[in-house]
Amino acid sequence: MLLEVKDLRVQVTPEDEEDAGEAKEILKGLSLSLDRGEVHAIMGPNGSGKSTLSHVLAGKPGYEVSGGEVLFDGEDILELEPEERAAKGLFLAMQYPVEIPGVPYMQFLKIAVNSQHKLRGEEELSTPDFMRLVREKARELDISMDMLKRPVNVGFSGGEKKRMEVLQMAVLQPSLCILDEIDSGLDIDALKVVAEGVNALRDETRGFLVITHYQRLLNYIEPDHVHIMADGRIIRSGGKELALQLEKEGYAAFVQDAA
Amino acid sequence: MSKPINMLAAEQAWREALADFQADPAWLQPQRAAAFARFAELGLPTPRTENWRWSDIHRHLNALYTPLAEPQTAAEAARALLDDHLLKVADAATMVFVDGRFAPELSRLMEEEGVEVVALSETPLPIDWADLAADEHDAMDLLNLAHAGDGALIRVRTGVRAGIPLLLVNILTGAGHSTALRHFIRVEEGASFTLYEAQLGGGDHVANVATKAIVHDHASLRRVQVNETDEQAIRLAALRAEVLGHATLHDTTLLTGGRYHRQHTEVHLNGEHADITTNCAYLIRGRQHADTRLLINHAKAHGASRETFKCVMDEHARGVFQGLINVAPGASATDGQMAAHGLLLGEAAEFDSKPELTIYHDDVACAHGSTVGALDEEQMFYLRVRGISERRARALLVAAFVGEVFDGIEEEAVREALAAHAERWLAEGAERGGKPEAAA
Repeated sequence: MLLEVKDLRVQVTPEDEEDAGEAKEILKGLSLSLDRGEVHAIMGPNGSGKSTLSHVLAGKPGYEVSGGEVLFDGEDILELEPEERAAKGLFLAMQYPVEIPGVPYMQFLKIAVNSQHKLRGEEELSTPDFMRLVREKARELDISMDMLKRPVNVGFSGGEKKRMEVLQMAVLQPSLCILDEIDSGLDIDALKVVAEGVNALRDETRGFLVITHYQRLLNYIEPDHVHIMADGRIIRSGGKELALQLEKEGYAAFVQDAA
Repeated sequence: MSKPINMLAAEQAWREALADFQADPAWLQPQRAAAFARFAELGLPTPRTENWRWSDIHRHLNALYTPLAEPQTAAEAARALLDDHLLKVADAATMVFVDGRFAPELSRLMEEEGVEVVALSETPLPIDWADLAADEHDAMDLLNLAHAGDGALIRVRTGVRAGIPLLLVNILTGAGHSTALRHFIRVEEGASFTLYEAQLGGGDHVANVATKAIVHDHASLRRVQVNETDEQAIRLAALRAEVLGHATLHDTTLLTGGRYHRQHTEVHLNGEHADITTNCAYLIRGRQHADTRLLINHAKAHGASRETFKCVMDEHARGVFQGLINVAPGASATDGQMAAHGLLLGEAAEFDSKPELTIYHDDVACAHGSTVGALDEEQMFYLRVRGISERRARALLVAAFVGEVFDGIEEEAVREALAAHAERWLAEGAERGGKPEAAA
């Protein structure tokens, strides 16, 4: 199994809010199994814990795991640093890719690729090999090489940022791709380009966890499994038809059923 | 905290030291004596002196630091330091000073038509084109003139676009002492010149370096200065420049060395359409203290000034920025932009920033901005989640933060050397144990 999440419980302790010091549980015993070659979609209303799940899987600081485990290729990764998880093949496409002024995209990408190679004990990619790889992937995603000379995400449109996330994914070749609301802020054309980029990466070696609010994305990235999340748990799992049912009936009906 | 200086004893010692400089050169002696008399009236600045309120020099000058009349190290012994430093530019002429004294055997002066370069100590007669007078209201400048045993006097004649940059190197070796250098650069009408200044060596030593410049109509002066001394040295540095009509001054500073560093930069835009840029980056840690004081005086119309300061403080270091843009009456269409940004890497680090504008004319576009903060956690996560180690991610972000300061340096090798130095500084910081490598 590529990813096994077992009874995962996660809380955060707000620092600068009124209820400072009080731990708040966000994931309340979440379980999920995902194998290579599969695409799983997680759908859920705002505040259900979808983004928290993606952050905790990727190792973002600030979350406290109070129970359960996360096995990636059979290994518990909860104690690993984000960069170690990345080097093992875990990729998080961000809902809001961060702007980094002063760091050219190409430099960032090259350091990322070679850092991962180094962490895996592999040889670094030569500059010509790296350039060839990037050029090829950029062409497939309709990204101009000029964009790669600009600082990371600075001044990029929403669509450009998401396309660049897919480019990173294509260059880094991860085994597990977590797409956190990759459809947010995209018009229909941009959505198609991003979805095509993702679909091009689908194969037997890779698994996808697609987090989204809307069924629309799943017309373009067809999932094998759909999970509905509410209040920190998965309350219902099924095939792709579940997403259509959800679109028709709304979250409320499912949440009530589960309660 | 160490004991502050005993001013009575210091003044006595510093007055006696005047005699050591009688011959360097003799014609300057009356000016030195007058400067010292004026210094004695003012005394050292105190925290009550507005521009010194965050930098108590009495506490940093914790010993007498008597002026050194002769270098404490033979020039040949200092040669090794010249082999590897940031501003080692292959095609530059070089003028080396050891403990405030010109060292011809280490220098490499090159003849260029229309460019005169002489050492102050080697001028038997007054140089009429060089104005060495000190600021009557600045105690440290007065003290500099009183004890400056040497310096570089540079003249670039009308219309000469000098092709050979000049590198001034000051090597510190004399622990327990002070040295002073006084440089003067005159770039005449339509001429252009590039100057590099490097501070090397270190030890418990006070170096007081004052550079005066006048950039005449349609002329251009570009300067890059670097302080690479160790964390023992104290450095007081000043640039006082007068920029005339349609003239440009481009000044870049990188500071990493020194336990105490005070940079005074004062530029007077005394002609219309003057265009000046002063950029500065410092990266400090341990108990280092860096204080940059900036005064940009727009005295004439249509002047443009850009000031960008990027200050990085780690561990217990303290950074200070005090900047003032003054727009004089009549200086219409002035365009002045000043920005000072502090980045705190250590929880005990501190940054004090005071940007100011005083505007005595309508019809101007002036702005100042100042920020202080830690590294952005979202940016750090974004880099790490792509496989970049915590240490490397920090280095990337800090290098990006200061990088803007080096962008305007024309010589690519120098620009890259400064950027690389900033990255090296971060790598050393990681080795000091402050920032463990997250993943091996």
